[in-house]
Amino acid sequence: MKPTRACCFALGLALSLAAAPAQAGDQEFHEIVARLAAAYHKRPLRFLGLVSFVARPFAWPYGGSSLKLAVFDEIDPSFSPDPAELDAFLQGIVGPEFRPFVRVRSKRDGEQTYIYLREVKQRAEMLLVSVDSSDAVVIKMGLEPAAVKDWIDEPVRHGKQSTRGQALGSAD
Amino acid sequence: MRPKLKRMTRAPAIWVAVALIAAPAAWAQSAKLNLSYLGTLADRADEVVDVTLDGATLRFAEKFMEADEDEKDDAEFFQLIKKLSGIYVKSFEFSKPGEYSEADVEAIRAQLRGSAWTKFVNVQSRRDRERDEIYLMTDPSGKINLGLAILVAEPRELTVVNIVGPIDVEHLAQLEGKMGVPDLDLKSGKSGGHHEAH
Repeated sequence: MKPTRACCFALGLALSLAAAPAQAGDQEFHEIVARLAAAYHKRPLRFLGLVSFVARPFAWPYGGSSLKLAVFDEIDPSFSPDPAELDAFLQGIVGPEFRPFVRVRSKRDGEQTYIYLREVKQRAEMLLVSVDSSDAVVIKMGLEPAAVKDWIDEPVRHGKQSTRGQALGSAD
Repeated sequence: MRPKLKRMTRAPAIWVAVALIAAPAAWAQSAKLNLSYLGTLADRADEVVDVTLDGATLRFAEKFMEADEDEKDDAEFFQLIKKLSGIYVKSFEFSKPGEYSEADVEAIRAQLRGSAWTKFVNVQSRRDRERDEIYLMTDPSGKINLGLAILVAEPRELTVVNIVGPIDVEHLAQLEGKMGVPDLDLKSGKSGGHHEAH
């Protein structure tokens, strides 16, 4: 994923996402980002906070946005943790509140995607971590009921789409 | 603790033996299969998809599904999942045929050989080289369904679905293509094959 593709992904995601306001803190998100930054000796791309802010008005019809996004581009794949290590590391950080929902490992694309769900005050929150040979993406977002239903209905399709950098959520 | 007892409890062989004896007994109590046996396939597969909808996630999902209860299909589907305590799907896609063997699938089939499990559907398509198997677990009286297992083996794809909780085979069609359950054409009767009991 080139930086431009990463930004397009971020924008596409923010625009198509049926997102809802987050009710809880983002400590898991920040901890995962910090740990990935330490592992890859890199900082995430800058201005992505701006991207999600700019995208917010477009997401309003769906109930607002609480998108948190971090993209590490051009990572050194030799620093990437192996799947079992990454799985254990993520589960350790997200804790029992976030339920493992979909995991996709694609040898073909060298991607690993881990998707977790949790309920926060009658709302759904999704945490997605996707790592491939060139990029790592961490996303945390609130989901509207329609989006949750779509994900639950077709977790395999949505999970595979998310590993391929396509838009998430119900608006596809 | 007395030294001899202490030595004994520290002996790894004893704990391994205890685990080996206890594990099948623990699994036997529930319709939940141990799908971790398929973990070794992950290294050979091109793509692995793992869907976990445990009891907590299903209860949480219910709240978001209630909104569509006006729709008849949705209402039936909602009533169905309300009773379930878990749906687990493991799907492997391989780059070429022959990447997994019967022995790999056997690790799962072995768990389905208990007296509580009945192979309900067994469809083998020579044309597509596909084999679909559906197993049903009942309580000792045979009247209450405790869960289902679906094995779909194709030359380049292997999918195992484990549904835990009361579900009838006739209601399985409502889950087809949803929640990671593959499309088995149950509605059109493709898999309405023969009933095989162990």
